[in-house]
Amino acid sequence: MSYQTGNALDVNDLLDRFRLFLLANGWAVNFWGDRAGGQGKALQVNKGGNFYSIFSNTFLDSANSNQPGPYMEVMLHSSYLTPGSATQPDGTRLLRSTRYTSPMQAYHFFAGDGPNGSYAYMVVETDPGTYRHLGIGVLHKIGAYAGGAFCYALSWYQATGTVNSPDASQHGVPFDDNGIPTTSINYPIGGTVIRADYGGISPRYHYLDTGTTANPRGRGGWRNTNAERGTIALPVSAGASILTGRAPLIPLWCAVERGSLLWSDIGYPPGMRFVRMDNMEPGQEYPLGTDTWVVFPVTRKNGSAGMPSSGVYGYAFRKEL
Amino acid sequence: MTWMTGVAAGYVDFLDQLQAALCDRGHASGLFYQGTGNGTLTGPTGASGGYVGGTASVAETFTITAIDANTFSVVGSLAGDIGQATVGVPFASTRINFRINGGATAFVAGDQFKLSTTPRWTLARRQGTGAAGRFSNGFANSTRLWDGLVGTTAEFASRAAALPANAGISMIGAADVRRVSITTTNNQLFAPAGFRVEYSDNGSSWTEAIAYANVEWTSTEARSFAVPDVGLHLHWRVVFTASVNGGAAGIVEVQELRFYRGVVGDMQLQQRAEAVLAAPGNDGLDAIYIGIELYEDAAAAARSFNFYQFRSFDPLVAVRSQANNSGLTNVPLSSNNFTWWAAVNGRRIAGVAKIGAVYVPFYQGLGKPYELPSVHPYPAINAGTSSNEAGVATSTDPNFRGFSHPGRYGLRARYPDNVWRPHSNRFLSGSSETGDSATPGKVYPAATTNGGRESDFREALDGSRVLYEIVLTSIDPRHMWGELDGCYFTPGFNLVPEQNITMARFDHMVFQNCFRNAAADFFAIRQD
Repeated sequence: MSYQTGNALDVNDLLDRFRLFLLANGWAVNFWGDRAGGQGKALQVNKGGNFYSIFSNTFLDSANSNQPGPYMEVMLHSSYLTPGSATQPDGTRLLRSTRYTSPMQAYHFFAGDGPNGSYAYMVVETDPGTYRHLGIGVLHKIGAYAGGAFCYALSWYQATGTVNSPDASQHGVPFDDNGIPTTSINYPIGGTVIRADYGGISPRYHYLDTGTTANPRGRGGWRNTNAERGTIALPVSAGASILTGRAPLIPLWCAVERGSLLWSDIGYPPGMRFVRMDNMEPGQEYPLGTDTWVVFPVTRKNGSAGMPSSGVYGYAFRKEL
Repeated sequence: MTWMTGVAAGYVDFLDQLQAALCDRGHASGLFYQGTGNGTLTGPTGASGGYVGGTASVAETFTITAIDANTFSVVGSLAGDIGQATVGVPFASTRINFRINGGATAFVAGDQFKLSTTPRWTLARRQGTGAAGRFSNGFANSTRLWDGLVGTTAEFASRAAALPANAGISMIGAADVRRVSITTTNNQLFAPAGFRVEYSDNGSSWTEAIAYANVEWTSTEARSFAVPDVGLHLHWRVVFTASVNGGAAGIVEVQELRFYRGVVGDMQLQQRAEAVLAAPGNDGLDAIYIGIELYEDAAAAARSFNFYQFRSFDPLVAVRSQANNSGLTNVPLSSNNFTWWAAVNGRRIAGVAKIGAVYVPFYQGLGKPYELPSVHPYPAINAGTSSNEAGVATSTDPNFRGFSHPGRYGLRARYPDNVWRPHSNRFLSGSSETGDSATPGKVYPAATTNGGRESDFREALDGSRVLYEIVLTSIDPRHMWGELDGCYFTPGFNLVPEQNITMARFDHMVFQNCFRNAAADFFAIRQD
């Protein structure tokens, strides 16, 4: 089964359900149990030689009211070593998805096989009309290189004036590089990290954020139109026709820095696209040829003042039955 | 021939070659292969993408199936079985022509190519002339005969001090002149009292169509004179034999001389040379009209094709006056030899003319819209290199750009609301070239934002080339139009023009955008 929907009681239950979904889709579980050194569960999985750790985190972090818990967190590593721990061989930083309030309205799990590896994505409706995203997988790669594995998580900054500002850099948005780097705020937030080895460095991880000194930078998305930012800003701005109503599904191209202000395309996530939701509602199905895609907002479609709003930004996920 | 190349001896010869390539036989495209062998299917001479239709091609699909390692059956969806093709030997027919070439791995029974054909394009019009085709004998200041200017002072007049004198046109295609219009000056004594209209097919042997004598005029009068139906001819002239004051020994002054095609309408053959081609569509049922005006200004070394497109064609109306036309896009060419390449199917022609070291691209016909045909039934694209009808290939103007990364306004696309809209990524702002944020139409991914920010990508991490679909977008009205057919943006790092990128069993020839060679200035055309 590569699509599943249901309800979860809390983040621990959500992660357990995701574990069963991954097992049903051929993923191997290295560890499932209590998280080492934290509040929550740890799910450590691998497939096709790519290793991921996903954690639930029930810590509410009342001191950080703008990025409140409970959380879901994810990281990528080159192999598996320590049960339940976020310290793994060649591990990336944790990417954190925020504010998984209980009880959750619904979850949607998607899984499949891309041309270069498998993927599994979760979309969670935390409050009615408000969504969170977290995923693992391997890019549909452009060119042959070691890597392609990625993980992502959505965090949404809750401060007044920011919570309904879709382009604010305080938000960590999957496959978009306009989020501030975790390293500058000293706690995990959302975003995307991709492995793409070159230049003799292995593993080489690329964080899609506004950081300028990463190893080196990753690039993707639509929220920032400055130099060396974004890859799909132009189609996103034109992406829902007022002539016909149609909104094409746009591949989430990712790139890495090559020096001399030039970049190389490394691919896009399979089974996941950007879509403008001007004329669509959350959860709406989008038939495309023989495929069916399901559309969700980045966090919440056009939320009212004071409410989370990601405008018309949305993701479409390929639904395989 | 799907992928064509040639050397044109000037821009008129280019029109001749294009017309022959498009209209003399059908085309083949959409090659598909599935099987064990790794041989190729090419044109009859082995040219990549050079497979071609024939004089009797129709819209159908040929299935070419291996019977054994060296023999293939050739079966058309309408034509049926038309014979067998032998590996290494050109297959010739009136429907389709190609050659199968053996590879390192032999073909086995069941290996299969598929190839679609479309009918020939048709020539709907070819007529008229430009400055080079207008002539006179015995007239001083003869350019005044054709300048469209009329006045009461001497500088508007062209004078023949001795008779007979003549003036006429040599056209790019034969046409029937059914009216001649003469505008005299305010000196009635110098008006032509006698003249005759003549025609020729070789420019040297002339035949009288009609003669007029004892014609009387008022001051500065424009008058039309009927010409009988004597058929279509390349050359026409008016021979002036007598003036009002002096008869055959007199002086004739004329302000304007016009040759009209047909007995109605306002199509003046002396104004400009133009042609209209109609593509049949990939189903053979369409008429996709592409109008070409030939522009020449010898003093500026400007010789161009100015392209127009229109959904319907009125044979009584000049190209630039056709209803709801696209407006012009300019493709500067040359009077000297130049190399050209083009990919053709039933819906469009995409090509490049190499003028010196400048690669001048053009795309004419339909694209690949994102909408259904019921919503966007006529997705036409008229792409040249600017909207300046007098463009030259030596230009360094910021707007002199091709379809992959256009300037103002070398690309116009027809939207679902039947409106032609320009697309521009770059323009001149102040003294420097920059992204065009004022034009709502953009071309992605050479531009990555609405402000026209240029792509800064290079090849993939392993050095392999990347081909991106060229996507047309608009933010006012907001709409993603779709893609060009068989043309791709490719990052220009470590790339040179005329290099081939082989991908998905097709060769793609790389070109730079006019004279530019930065990372955002390259594109490729699929040889199919």
